[in-house]
Amino acid sequence: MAADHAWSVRARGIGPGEVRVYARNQVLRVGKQASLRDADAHPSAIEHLLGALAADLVEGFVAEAARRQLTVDATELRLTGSLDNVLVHLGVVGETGHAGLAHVTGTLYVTVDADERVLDALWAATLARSPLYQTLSRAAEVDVRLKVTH
Amino acid sequence: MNKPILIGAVIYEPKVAVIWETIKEFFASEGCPIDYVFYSNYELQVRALVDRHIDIAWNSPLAWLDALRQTGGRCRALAMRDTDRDRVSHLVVRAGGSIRTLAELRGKVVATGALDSPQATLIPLEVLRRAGLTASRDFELVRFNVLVGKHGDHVGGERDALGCLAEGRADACAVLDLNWQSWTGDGTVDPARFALVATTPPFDHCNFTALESFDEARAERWTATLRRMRYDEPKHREMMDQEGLKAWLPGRTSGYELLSDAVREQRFFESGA
Repeated sequence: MAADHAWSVRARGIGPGEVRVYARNQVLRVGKQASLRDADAHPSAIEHLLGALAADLVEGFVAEAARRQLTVDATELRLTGSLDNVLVHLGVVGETGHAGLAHVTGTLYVTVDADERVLDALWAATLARSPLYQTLSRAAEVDVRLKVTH
Repeated sequence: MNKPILIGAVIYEPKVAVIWETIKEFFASEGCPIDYVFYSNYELQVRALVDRHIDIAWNSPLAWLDALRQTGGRCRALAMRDTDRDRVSHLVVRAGGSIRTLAELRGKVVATGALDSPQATLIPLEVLRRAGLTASRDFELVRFNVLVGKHGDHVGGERDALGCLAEGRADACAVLDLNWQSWTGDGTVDPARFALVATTPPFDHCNFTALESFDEARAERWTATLRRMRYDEPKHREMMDQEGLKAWLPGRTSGYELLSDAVREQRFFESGA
């Protein structure tokens, strides 16, 4: 039987455009669900989700590299996500589709001294052990590539 | 509580929602609260206005005529942008060709925007009709029906028609003056490759439409608040630039005759388009 563990967060609405999320001893400030403005006081819920996936993959890659005694000199991951139909999220009468994420794409740039075969295995393990990738890739098309830079 | 006035707007581009959020914040700050409902097409929005689900509709010129039609004329145009007045469309041909007059389009191919675009289809076809040229009889019509239902707000069909002309698959097309200025100014179009063979008479574009039964005092308060937006106020300017205006003006209804003739001659509403 699978081992079980649950994580909890608590969210409180502070005012328009701000929700505070408490997780253990940490606080996250979240703005709108999906903001279309150029700038806001807080990241939107969508950005938190993409940020969480990005952090999960970067942290996972570094951890997998450490298990193989590889030193990662630098990592940078850029992710872009889009909804199936953002107009449904905006409540446009007559639009079809859904408000959920449909596509997430991005590239993880890493500086690491390892051959291609090792890196392929490392990246596969990263994706296999990533809670957020394994969740989101079952609900949306998630395409994140690994690219080595020197 | 001051009940918000409900405004309808058709949107196809998510960023437009930001404009409406800014307008809502402005009205709230002026003590005249509004809320908005977005529609995917003008048919739904006009229906919502006629059924009084919304108080005011930000209507295309075709939606204005549709609202008049469905209410027996019992609508008011409360306000419009300065840029909604006296627009024209240009009939465009390739430069250096044989076509120098509308009459020379006989037997040729004319590309238009979406079938419900006033500026890129309905009005240009009416101008051609007045010049003695009827689609399918006197010239071949090629439509670019991009996002039908949005009345040409989405310029995709208009741009595709111009592309069709540029590629030599059509002999003429129609472009709204503001789009022509924009596209020749930003390099989308090389004006040296084209010539303007005719320009339509002036016509008016969008307006904020209310039913005659909408409370007069609320309508006046809303209109007065809208007209307090100022282009020299930085907080308003970005929104006004995005919406393409420098001032809100009173709504007028004298600029829709050309489109009215067009929809009647083309039996637009009767055809169920």
